[in-house]
Amino acid sequence: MATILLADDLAFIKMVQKEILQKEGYDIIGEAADGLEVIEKYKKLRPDVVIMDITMPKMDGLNALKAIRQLDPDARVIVCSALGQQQLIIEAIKIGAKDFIVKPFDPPRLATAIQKALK
Amino acid sequence: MFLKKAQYLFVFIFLSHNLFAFSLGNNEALSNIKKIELLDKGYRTIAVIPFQNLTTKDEYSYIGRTIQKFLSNDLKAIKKLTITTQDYLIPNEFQTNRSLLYAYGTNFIRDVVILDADMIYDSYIRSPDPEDPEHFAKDIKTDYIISGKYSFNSGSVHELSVSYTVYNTIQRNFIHKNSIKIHEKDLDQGIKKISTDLVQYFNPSETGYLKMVTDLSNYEFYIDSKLIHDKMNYYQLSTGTHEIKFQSVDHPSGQQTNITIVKDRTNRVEFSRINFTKNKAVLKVSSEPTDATVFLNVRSLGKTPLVFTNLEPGNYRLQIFKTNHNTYYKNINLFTGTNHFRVNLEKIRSKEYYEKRHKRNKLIMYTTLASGTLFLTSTYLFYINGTIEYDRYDNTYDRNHLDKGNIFMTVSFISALAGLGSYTLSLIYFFKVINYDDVNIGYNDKKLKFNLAERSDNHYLYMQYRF
Repeated sequence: MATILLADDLAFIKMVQKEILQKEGYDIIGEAADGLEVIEKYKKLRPDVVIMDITMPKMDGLNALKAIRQLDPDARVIVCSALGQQQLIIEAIKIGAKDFIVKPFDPPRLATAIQKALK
Repeated sequence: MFLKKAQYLFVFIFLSHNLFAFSLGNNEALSNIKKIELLDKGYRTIAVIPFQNLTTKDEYSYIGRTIQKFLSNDLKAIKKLTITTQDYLIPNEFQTNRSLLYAYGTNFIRDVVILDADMIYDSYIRSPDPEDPEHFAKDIKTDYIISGKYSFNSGSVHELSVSYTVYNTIQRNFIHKNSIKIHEKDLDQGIKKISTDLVQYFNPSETGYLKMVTDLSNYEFYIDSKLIHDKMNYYQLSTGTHEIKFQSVDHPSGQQTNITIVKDRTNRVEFSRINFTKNKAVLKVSSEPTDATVFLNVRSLGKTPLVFTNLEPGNYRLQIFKTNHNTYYKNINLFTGTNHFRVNLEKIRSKEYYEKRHKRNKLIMYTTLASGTLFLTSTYLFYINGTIEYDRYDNTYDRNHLDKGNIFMTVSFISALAGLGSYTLSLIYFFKVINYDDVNIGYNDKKLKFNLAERSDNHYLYMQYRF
């Protein structure tokens, strides 16, 4: 069973993701509320997949993604953004994000993104 | 001596506490009185059900469940509520009967229980209608139900419009309604706003009690313009001023007063009784089966058997309603004095049932007609034959003819008897079928009125099938 780390400043969004992913059978091993926390949690937990919001306090998702990729070049990170943030998504893909999802989530899309990242 | 008395007192308190706890633990469906006892002691349960998805996409339904979970957790986190979780409930009982989600138990400490979102979800699946919390309340025993709806605002996915309601299962009405717009970047704060708004309705430190001294059984009773269906002596209300109204059919303006509810105090309200005069009418309604709701000019008076006093004599529209039964309608004329209506409410049956009855009644009708015809024909033949034979006997003494005539006469006589018997039996049965067993009769003490015409539409259908 793949392990997942969730990073979003909104508890509501994390609960939504948890709700969808737990139904799909994934193991949520950790949650982070900002960019710095997600790096710390990644070092400690080494999850199979990270689902990370681009807009987060303390350190944004793009910088956190860079830091995680430096720690682990094989890190599988899926970025999550709101509609209208296409430029940020393109940048994240360039940095090394495996896929992206747009809020509000479409549950099958979220599951497909994880499957794609795990391949 | 004193110590011994104190010992007895201690044992008495200990036993009564445990007896109280035991009696609660064995109550599957608590009566309203019991609920009020619990309310008096501060025990209240709240169920948050999944919010309804009004967006165009079914995929977003998970948001409704997340709001439910998030709101439940948020309400639990508000210290003011002094939340007691279901850990305090008897675990075995809880496991064996998941729909029995009522606050009881020996170790139950105080205040509010937010029923677990996952457990609520199971019951919600069985009764998934947020528009009808009462329907849901049948499945789950709780004092309050929080439900709501959400949609994306004006087609934008960045802003969520959430409306929410609090339903009081004891008073059987919505005690609070509100709506809020939440931006996607403000989801946590938005839900927190909802929970903060809801806290005042559940915070024991901000409520007091209203005690109704007046007997409400024959009157409509309103708190803050909301009709209260379950008439009880005690109501728990938030602190502050509330408008209390007391109304009857003949006094539509009613009596009204404002009352200030003080924290943790019982506030008494008594309305002066409306004087009965000799020229007033009294309406008595009884029904079979009982417990049917009576409406007079579209106003609910209560449930049968019912006595409603102090009405102005005159014409009214009477309706008696009971689930799964044909509704009774009648334009009635109330006279001074007692007007008694006894109504048999017919159970709504399937079309097949009426068709079967129709066939049976047709058969009875044809049998009656056939046997009547047989009787008349046979009697006529018997008479004719008898006359002919008598003439022959007189004139010809033809033995052969006489014997044949006798046989013919015997046969026609037996046939006439059989026809008469059959006709009588089918006639009796015919009248038995059209007996007044299920015909509604309205009468008063001055006039005795039978009115077959004024019955429900379904009854007409039944009558049509009958003949």
